[in-house]
Amino acid sequence: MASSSSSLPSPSSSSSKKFILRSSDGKHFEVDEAVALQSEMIKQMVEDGFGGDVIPLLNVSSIVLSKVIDYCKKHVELDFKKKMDGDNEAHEEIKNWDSEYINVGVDELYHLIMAANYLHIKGLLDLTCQKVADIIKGKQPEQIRKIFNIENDFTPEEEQEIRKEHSWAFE
Amino acid sequence: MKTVTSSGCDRISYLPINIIENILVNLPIKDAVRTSILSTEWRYKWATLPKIVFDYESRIKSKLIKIVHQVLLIHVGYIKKFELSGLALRSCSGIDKWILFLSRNAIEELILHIDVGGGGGKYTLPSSLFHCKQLRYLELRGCIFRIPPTSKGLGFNHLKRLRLYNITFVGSTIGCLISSCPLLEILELDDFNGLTDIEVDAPNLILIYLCGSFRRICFKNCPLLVNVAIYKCGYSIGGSNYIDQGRRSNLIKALGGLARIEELKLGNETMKFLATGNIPRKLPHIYNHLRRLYLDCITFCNLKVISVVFCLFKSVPKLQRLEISAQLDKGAPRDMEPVLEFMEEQFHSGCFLNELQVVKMRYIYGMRVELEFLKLLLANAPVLETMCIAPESEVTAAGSNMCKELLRFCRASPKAKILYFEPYEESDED
Repeated sequence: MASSSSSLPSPSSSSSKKFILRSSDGKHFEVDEAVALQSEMIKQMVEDGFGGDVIPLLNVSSIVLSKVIDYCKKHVELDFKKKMDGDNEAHEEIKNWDSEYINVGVDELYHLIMAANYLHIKGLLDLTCQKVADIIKGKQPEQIRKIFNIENDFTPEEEQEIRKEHSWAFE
Repeated sequence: MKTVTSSGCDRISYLPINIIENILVNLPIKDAVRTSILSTEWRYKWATLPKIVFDYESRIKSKLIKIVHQVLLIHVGYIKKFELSGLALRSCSGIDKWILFLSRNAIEELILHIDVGGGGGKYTLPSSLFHCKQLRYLELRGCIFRIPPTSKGLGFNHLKRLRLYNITFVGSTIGCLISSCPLLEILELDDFNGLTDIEVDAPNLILIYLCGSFRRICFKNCPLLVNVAIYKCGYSIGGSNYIDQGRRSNLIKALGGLARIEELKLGNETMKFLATGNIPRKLPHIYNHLRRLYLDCITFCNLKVISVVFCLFKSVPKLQRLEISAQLDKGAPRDMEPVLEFMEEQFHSGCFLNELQVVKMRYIYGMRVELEFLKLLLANAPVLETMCIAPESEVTAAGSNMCKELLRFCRASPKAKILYFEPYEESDED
């Protein structure tokens, strides 16, 4: 395909429609339509006629929302690139960008999961859940409890019983 | 990496159930089951997992049968996907019961690779497999598949993709199994035996890959089938390999029902099979959609095989890409005159392959028949862009001679370039 990246038309031109998102703490974020519509929840609201002025997002704070918008912006850009440059190249770039993006602490990860779930952004939800799984993978129960602050409410006897029940998994 | 929470709140135990599920399905089964010990909240969270995968990554070394049993026993609710692959089994006891259990739990995706070590016999699939009515994807490996003689009670009404590897079929014909999967889009039968007849009646089939022994093949009612690969193996049960399918040629009978085909891959044994019976000069049907033709291990000194090649050429006017790999036929007649004469005849029969753009020839020996073949292509492909030649490794010395010959040939296409690769050198040309 004859196109250099410098001459790529931007997916977000100034003429495209804008939406204003309001975070739970009252901050406003102006975003392109394509970016906002990454969220199935917003898409549904717009279809139901709520897209007029400001879209209130009651469950997402400004700090988290700004991070979520970063994700949506980048993915609109990368989806566009995928169409232009073909799957393989874009796939690698998405993977690298995602893994850098999701390298966050557990608290932030938690807020991103909740926001992705509320806003219904499947890509971000899958990415965050995969990250939690990656943290859990191969670790001892005690380490997992510590990382996520899970209180162990088993008695030693109960714990022993579970270990015995699934002895193969604890080998 | 920053991982420890700073807020002191439990960050995952009380997440919505769909999220917990999303996390657990991304864990190997061993790690998922281990979450049961985190706290009482977590004790049975894993037990509703909709996907149960025992694969190489699950790092289970022994007692596999017992473990699978136990997991299924504790499991609650639907199991959409079950996979057992990449792990050696000591025996097959119990697998029948799992399949029955899964058939009752709305299984949609079933992958079973049965690899019994220690020289045990192949596992025979139970009839309860046919009770898995919700299946969308079925992949089996290393089993004996008993196909009922009639389609009564068969019927995978939702099955879209069927992959069977190293399967011994009992029941000789697979027609009723295929026709009982009306939504089937992809069918792959690799390394199979026991079949004599392959009758493909599949209105939604897009791709078929066959590699194994059979005696008859025909396609009917496959209006969407665009991608076909047939690799026949020499061995066939009962009698001759290349049985005459009645008075018509195998070629017409086998390829007759493939009106929409876009990509065709054939092996040398398949070519020999197609060559049985009378080879027509051209096929009764013109394959106007066929763009890509791949012929593997072609024995150029076999007149019958070459006749099939040209019969195909005359029936595929829109062919754009042709890839051929050659093979030396040790038992072939020394006298290549009949083949050369035949090609000479073809040479004068006029222009065909009017849209051919790319030709790739691999493992050629530089024999005269091969060079004549290339000469013929160069002279009869007016829009050819590239011809890639990669010889067999033994012919390096003869390579330069081959190049000299090639450069002398007339080219019908002014922009045709010839690329010569050293043996086994990977070509990056598209």
